[in-house]
Amino acid sequence: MIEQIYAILDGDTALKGLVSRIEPKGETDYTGDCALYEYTETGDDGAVMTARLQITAICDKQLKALAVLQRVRQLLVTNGDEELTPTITRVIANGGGHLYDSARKKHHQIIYFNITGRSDSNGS
Amino acid sequence: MAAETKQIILGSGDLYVTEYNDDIPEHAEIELEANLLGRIKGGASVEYKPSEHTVADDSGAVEETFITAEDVTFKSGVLTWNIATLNKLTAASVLSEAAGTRTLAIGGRAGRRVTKYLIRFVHTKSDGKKIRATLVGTASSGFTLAFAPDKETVVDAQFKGVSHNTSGHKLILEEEYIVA
Repeated sequence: MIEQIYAILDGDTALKGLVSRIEPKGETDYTGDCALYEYTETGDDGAVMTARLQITAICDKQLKALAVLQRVRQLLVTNGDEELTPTITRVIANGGGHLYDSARKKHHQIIYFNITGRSDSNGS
Repeated sequence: MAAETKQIILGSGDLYVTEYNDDIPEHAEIELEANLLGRIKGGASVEYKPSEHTVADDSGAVEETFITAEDVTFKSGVLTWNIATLNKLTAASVLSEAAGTRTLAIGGRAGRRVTKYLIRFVHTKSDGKKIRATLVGTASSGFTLAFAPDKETVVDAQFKGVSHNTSGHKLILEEEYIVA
């Protein structure tokens, strides 16, 4: 599911206008404004698959970081029963936070998503 | 197990409702954006419930069961709606629009003629093929509008199926599949 989510985020010109990079969370020496993601699959009963996605917007200004997460929510959160992709049936935002990196003078604005989709473990 | 019986269905679908005019048009004529009742929330369900009557002799040697009635009910919840949507959820009403105002008058003389609607629910499978449930029905269960400060208003949509052809069919289920 993460490939589809990344494609949605990376393909959005409005989001790419706010942050120059969208990358998996990890060590980096990049100091520009960016968005990092961390994806964890949390459940799979053979029919339904669940996952947790953390997006961290790292920006000089907190308002810009909030704007990044607003755009991410607009792209990912599903409305009613509308599916995000043929595989991802539901995305809700659930939780978040903020911290300030005083060494690099960067705001880290975090949001979590709960993702529900069709299992890929049954081979169908 | 055959490939087509291994599939697992997950996910909701799109709900189209349009006034019934004595025939069921082609899919492309029904499944139009203009016929979407609204974006639904909480899924949808179709219930088929036959009523049986069994006749048996005292020894149980002779027994025969007959179907005396069949009920079909479609239920869903509409998340995105306006007053025109509610018109389709009333058994009978009068909708008017003028100068940026929609007015729906429910009850009274308008309530004597029950409008039949064509209801089409389309679920798209993970392989892109579709399952369609089609019925002709009346919105005879009404609706409840709940306005709350912390929860979105989802309007219950419930239709009771009626027979719409000489065979008495009340529900048509159709599934597309990949031909091997």
